[in-house]
Order: sequence, then structure tokens, then C-alpha cells
Amino acid sequence: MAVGSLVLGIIACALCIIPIPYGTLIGIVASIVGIILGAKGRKAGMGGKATAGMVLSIIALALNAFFFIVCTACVACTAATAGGIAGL
Amino acid sequence: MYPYIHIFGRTLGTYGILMAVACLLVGVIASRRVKQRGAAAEDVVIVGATAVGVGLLCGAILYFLVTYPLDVLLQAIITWNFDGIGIGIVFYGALIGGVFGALLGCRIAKCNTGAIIRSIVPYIPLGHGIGRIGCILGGCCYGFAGYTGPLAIYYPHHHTGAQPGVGYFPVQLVEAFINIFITIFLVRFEKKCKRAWDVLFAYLASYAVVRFCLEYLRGDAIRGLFSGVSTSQWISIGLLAISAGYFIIVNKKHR
Repeated sequence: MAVGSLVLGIIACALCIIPIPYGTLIGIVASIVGIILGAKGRKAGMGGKATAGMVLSIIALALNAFFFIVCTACVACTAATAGGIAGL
Repeated sequence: MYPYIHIFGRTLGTYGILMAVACLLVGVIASRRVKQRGAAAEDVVIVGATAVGVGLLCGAILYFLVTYPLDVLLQAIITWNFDGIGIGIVFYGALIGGVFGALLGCRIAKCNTGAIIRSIVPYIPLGHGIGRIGCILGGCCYGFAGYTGPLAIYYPHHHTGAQPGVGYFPVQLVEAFINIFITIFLVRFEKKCKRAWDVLFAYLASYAVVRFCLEYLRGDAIRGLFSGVSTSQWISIGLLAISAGYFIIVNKKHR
């Protein structure tokens, strides 16, 4: 679990930097799984690697969120409104 | 206003930054409180991760359903061509999905669900309030146009649906402010209530009332209107009904 968390955290961080199709989405999924594995590993007393994997995965989730979530309900309504205004 | 910042050649959404700050803040507070209730901080981390994952997914699905016709979505999925389809998230979708995600996280973590609810739920509106500040930066979820009173927001750029030079009602600020009051109410309510689920349904009911009212002050366009009532208002009515039903049933059981 600890090693899995660490690997997923590293992969998720790498996907923030390496621009591949759907990379941010894959990074979000990988970081969430990494967080779960790391936290479960810490609860099971696996110590350093589990903590490192969990922390790395949390950082990766935050970074991927920065790139992915431009806005909430907003990308659609602003795009739609802008499109509507352009059409006037 | 400032929807993006550019660092090392990458574009970061300011809303995403503020949402991440909100999630981390709520996570840190909840991790400390959960220890007082005999559960592990790691449980909050697991529940938070699953809630965020399922919440994002449901928020995005609801956004797609509200914004695009079903045949357009099906066509995009069948052809795997998403040109012209933007990505977004609806808060209610994220909230409802987040609740189910959190319950899944409780099962994965095998933790005390009541302790998790009592530790996390009172601070969700605090995180939401921070997110609404992100809406101001992102130039979205704005209020009605033509407002020139105190705290009117003027968007400088035309990158959003808001018109530059036109004053907009600061509905995002109002909602952020009200969310702080909801947090204070829930923190005090949580100390007095006997059942942990009361805290969750109290939050859903209070936010549903607030959101229903604030929708009348919104000016951003296509959010879906059915019989003159917006999608979020219909969801608010549904959540209020479910919460009321919960309190009625629970109070009847314990008489």
C-alpha cells in the first residue's frame, strides 16, 4: 500500500508537468487513489513511505486541480453567455 | 477578473487554487477535530479524497446535463469527439456526489461515520465561501447586471459572460458571507445535537434555503430554467424536502 501510494503520487505529479492527452484527469484519479492507499498505509503503521506517498498525492491532487478546474458551474455559463453575446 | 495566472509557462485557474486552499483548510480543521472524537486523522484524508473524487465527477456530470442537450452529449460520447463541449462543475452536483463519496470513503476507511460527519460537515460552508471568492476572481456566478450600489463588481475583461464596465451585484460575496454564518451555526448546533446525521441535514436544509433565495439575485445566464425556476432552485426544493422528511421521521421515532 505504501509503495503503491508513493508510485501513484510520483506519477500524478509527473502528469502535472508532462502534457499528455487527458493527463490532468488521469493525474486526479491517480492522486486520489494514492491518497487513499497512503492514508490506509499510515493507519496500518507503515510509516515513512506511506506518509510520503500520501503527501505527494495530496500535492499532486492540488496541482492537477489548479490546471483542471478553471471555474465551476461557470465555464459553461460564461461560454454560453459569451456565445450568446457574440451572436447578438 | 483574474481567472488565470501563468507560472512556468503553465496556466493555472485561480478558482482551482482557491478550491484547493478551501479543501486543505477544511481538511486540516476536520483532522484536528476528529481526533477529539476518537477517530484517526487519516480517516478524514481518505473520506476527503473519495468525496473530492466522486464530487468532481458528479459535479461535472450535472454540469454537462444542465448545459448541453442529451443528444449532443450522447453524440460526443459515441464519436469520442468533445470539440465544443467545455468542462465545468456545478456545486450542487459536487455536494451531493461528495456526500456519497464520503460515505464510500467511510466504508473504505472502516471508520466512525458519525465522528467524520461531526468533524467535516460544519466546515463545508467555510470551504464553499472561499470557493465563492474564487468565483469573483474567475468572473463567474455573478449577480444581476446594472447594480451600482456598495461593493458592486466591475469586470475589466470580456473573457467571461459579464460585460466590462457594467456593475454587477456581488452575490458571490453575499453567499461567502452567509456561508460563514452557516459554519458558525453548524459548529454550535453540532455540539448540542444527539445524532451526527442531524448536522448533515441541518447543513443541507440551511444551504438550500439560502441558495433558493440567492438564485433570484444571480445574473449569469444559462443555468437551466424549468417552469420559471432555475435548476439550482429545484435542487434546493428537493434537498429541503428530504431534510424536512428526515427530521420529521427521526423526531417521530424518538418520541
